[in-house]
Amino acid sequence: MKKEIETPKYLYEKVIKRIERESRIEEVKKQLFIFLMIFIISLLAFIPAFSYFQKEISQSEFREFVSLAISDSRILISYWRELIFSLAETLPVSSSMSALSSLLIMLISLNFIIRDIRLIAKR
Amino acid sequence: MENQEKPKNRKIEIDTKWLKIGIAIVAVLVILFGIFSVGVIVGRFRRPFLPERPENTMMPAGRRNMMPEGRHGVAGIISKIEGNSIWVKNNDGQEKEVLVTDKTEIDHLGESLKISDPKADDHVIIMGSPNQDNKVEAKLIRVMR
Repeated sequence: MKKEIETPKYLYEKVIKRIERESRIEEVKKQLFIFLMIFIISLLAFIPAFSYFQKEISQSEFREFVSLAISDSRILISYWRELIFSLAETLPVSSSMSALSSLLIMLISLNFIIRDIRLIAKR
Repeated sequence: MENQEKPKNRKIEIDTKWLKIGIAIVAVLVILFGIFSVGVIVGRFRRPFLPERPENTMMPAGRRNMMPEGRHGVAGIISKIEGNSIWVKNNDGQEKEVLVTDKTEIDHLGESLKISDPKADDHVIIMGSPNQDNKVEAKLIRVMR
């Protein structure tokens, strides 16, 4: 005697949803790999950019003007205009830009990595 | 044994609030530095009388003289003192001439000094404004002995 198996209600929808979720997770895994690569590259770029920034800041007069501004509030009040100009003139712009840009890319990619890990873990 | 059920959803609780704040701060800094760098590049491009661009003589001489190229501050070691001029060598080894006027304030640890007090090899931080000869006219000389 052949007995018919009764399928549970909404089984089809559940299966389709599960397939969709799995394919979404596959996409997220690919994204995660890409962001991981971006994170590693930006980290590798950040290390020399930061050391270059440190070298430039130690060689420039910027540090001395900052220390002068911190050490004497009277100078800060009386000569604020000259101080701002001096700081702007001695700021190592290119090295700070490269260090900050690589740091920004690193943080953004880290944010996406955490989001993707959360999505994968939720399954 | 019955009570030991596997959790259906694994959740990773990572607070990204500080990460987002960090991203916002760094992004603002990148924008500000970017604007500043563009300003510096445009400023250099529009200043054709600079020594590194001697071939460009688009700007009339009269207007060139109206735009001083000198700096507002110098920090380094005094290499030479001659009359009212002080030559300061910075960390890069470049020498800058600084003019001392009657209005120049010279001080060391809050004590005011005379023009004759700073000596060669003294470490100084100078602030002032550039004149038409691209020399710094000192307003403040802080001696850091």
